[in-house]
Amino acid sequence: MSDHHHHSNGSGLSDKDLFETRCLSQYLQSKIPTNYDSLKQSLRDATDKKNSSKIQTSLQNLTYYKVEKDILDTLLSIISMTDDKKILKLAYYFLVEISAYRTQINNSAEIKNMITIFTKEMNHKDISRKVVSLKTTAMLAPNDSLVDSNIMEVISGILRKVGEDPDKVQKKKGFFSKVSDLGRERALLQYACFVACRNRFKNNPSLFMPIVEGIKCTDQVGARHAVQLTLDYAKENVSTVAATIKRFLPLLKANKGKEAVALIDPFARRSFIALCGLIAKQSSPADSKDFFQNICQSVMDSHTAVWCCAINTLCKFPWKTLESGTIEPISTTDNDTPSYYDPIGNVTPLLVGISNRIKTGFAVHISSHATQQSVPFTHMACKLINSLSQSYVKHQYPKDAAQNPQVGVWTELEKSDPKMPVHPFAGLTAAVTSLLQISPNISIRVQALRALVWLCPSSLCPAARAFFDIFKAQLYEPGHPILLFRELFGELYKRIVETPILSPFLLQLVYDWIDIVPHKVDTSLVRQIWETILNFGLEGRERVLQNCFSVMDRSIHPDFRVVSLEILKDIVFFLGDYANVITYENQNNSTTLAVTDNQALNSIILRLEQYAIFHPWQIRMTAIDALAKIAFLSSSAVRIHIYHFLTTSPNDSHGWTSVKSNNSTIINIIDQLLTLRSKWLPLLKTINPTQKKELINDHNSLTLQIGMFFDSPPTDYYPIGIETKQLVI
Amino acid sequence: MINSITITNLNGNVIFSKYYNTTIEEKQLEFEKSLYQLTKDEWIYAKSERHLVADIGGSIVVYTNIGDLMIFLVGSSDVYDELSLSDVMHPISECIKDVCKKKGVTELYLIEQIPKFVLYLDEVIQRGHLDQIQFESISNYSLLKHDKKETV
Repeated sequence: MSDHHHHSNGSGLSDKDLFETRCLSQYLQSKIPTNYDSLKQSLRDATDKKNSSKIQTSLQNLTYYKVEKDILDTLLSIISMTDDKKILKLAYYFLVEISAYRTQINNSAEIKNMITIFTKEMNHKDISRKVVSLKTTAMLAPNDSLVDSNIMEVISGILRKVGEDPDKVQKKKGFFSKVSDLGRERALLQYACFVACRNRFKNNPSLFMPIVEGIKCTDQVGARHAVQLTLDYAKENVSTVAATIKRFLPLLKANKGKEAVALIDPFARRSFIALCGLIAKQSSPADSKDFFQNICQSVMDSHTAVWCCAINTLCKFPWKTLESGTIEPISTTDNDTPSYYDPIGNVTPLLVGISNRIKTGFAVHISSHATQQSVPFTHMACKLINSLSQSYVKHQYPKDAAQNPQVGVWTELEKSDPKMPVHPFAGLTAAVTSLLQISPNISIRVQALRALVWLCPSSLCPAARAFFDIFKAQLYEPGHPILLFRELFGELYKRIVETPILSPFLLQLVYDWIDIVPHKVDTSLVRQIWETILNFGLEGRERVLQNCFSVMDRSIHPDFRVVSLEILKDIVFFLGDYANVITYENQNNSTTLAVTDNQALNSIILRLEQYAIFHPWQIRMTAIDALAKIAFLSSSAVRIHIYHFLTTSPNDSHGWTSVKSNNSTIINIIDQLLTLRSKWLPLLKTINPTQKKELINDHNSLTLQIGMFFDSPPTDYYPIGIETKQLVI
Repeated sequence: MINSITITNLNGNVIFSKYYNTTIEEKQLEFEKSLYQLTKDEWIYAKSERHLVADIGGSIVVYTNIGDLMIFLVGSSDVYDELSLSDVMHPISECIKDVCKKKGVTELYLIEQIPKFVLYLDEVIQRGHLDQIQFESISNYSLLKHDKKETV
């Protein structure tokens, strides 16, 4: 914002100064004696007077601030008049900062000035000025055809020679004193071009070939930018990129001794793996084969971040592909092998190779001394184990006819089934578990637990029980924050979606969670788990109801009274929403069926009725609402029962008044439901148009009143009865 | 991309912060607050330049302690995972130690040296893209001495 927007408040400080600062932080401003506006002024004065030392001081002091576009002019003047490298670098630094406002630069004089300076700088004998000017102008200059053509001309000029061997052009006049430096100077200029392209000419078709060739750039950072640019091209046109870069794949026999590239920069190798991943995923099997193999070979990269990146990329492929993948032998004595590979003697199944790599990594990075552990590695490794194991579990778990995960038989086994396939990463379980003991870092524990969730066998066997014992043990750790449990149970939730068989273990753990650390429970997550298990057939519904009842009926430690009431309230609410789903009760059940015939529903109603009388008023309110929801969705027998309860329940206890008001609304609605049903049922067969209109009105009015009690209105719901369906639609 | 770098003192006061994504200022303050709250208890484990990791709101954070400063590097997890941020943290730590080499890494001295530090940082990260990672290049390029011979 420019100065004229400031309003003085009479104390000399503008309103804006009072509330915000252009300083990098408020705290920093409190530590330094300068302020932004006066610095900007002194920079202008010093520039007008061409006072180098003052320019430098002002620029240095301005580095404490976020600068605005209005110093652009001054900066351009400084660049055009100084030869002092310190001042130049500072000026260019601020131009990069100002590039954030590039779209606001629209003054034609400024643009012209920019081009003039750019042209002058690119003809300067100093390589640094060329590099920094090219990089910065590409970032800063606004979208303008004249600017574009100027920069493009320079870039094309430099990149035209990108594939050439520097030795061949050594005879040309260079700017460096020694002829041998010529190659390096060109590589630097190429590097500047690639940075410029990343900021200005992404996916420009005319630069495609020189940029792809740039992967061979001898400046390693330049090569990295070229790989990144190629990745951007691949996102638009994967087949052309695949065909063009195949010859660069290292370790591919056909490329040996030819154009295979060795990317020394580990970040360039990571981007190259991402590029291969994109091509391998999106190309035809024949085209993708070599690129996929290159990722497999990168598992043997000696740089930890690179081989982890390779495994991470592999995680995106289907389990079947990984299962059949191999790592081909790598000989480090072969001159064609880039120096950054670790040797491997035999053809190794990919999954074995990955497992060994992570195991070796753990051996190096896990130690009982906290100071020797590499947190980033262990964090990453656990994430990789999580992804890979998820992929395996999803693939291996039996599916039903509709290709959904089988619900299975929920009986806990005494012995493990010897026919159960062994988890391919089972060998890593001990190392991951040990992290829970030795790492004080919560994020490591979270990742370790998330990995263990998927290392657990898909069976109710003792081995799986052992995993759940580990999870339960976490509940007793006093330092564990709620966040850790949210992550753990969130992951377990994902697990039972894929392998419903583990639901009984999870429900037991949910009970423990609520019982042991109720103050660290996320009830919305518990609800989500219950909702999912409800879908797993009769067994699922019964177990969820059992789980709710165990939680409700347990004795509560006095310390947890308040927090447990909150949880209870949420369970009562849940029962109101799901009682009818759990117990198969609905409005269309025969009216002759006595309410006592549905025992499960009975026990829910009984508990809710108790809560509606004997608990603090918040629970009572929720219990009454829950009963109301059940009544609305149930058959007349249940409606009458609940109506009776609500009209006769005691009304003399403390706080009953507030409950009472809610109560009367509900009684009124149930009354209408019962009356209107008995009114309309005999008339339905001989209904006339006027009556039909009236029926629709009644239907709509009831649906509206009942809708207020539900977060999402019940679907396919006919308050007066399913018999009205044809008439009210 | 690399989303931001934040340097605080051991009380959590922000000495330096730079955002490369388009987060608005209000959100930046909010983010810094949750960064502090979610990591503060573990700062003691970041001693001797150990790199720690935190996941905050879909971003991944690698942080460490140098002298009486905490340095936080935040990346969007699709490109910059914990290991690559840790690799980026190394040259940044070197830069901080270099600018503070005369008097040691203290809050006050870093504040004094910010004009030099920002020029170093400008060579490491530009607009969220990683650039130079070799300290020698960072140091030479920040002085506009691209022609200086590198010792390999």
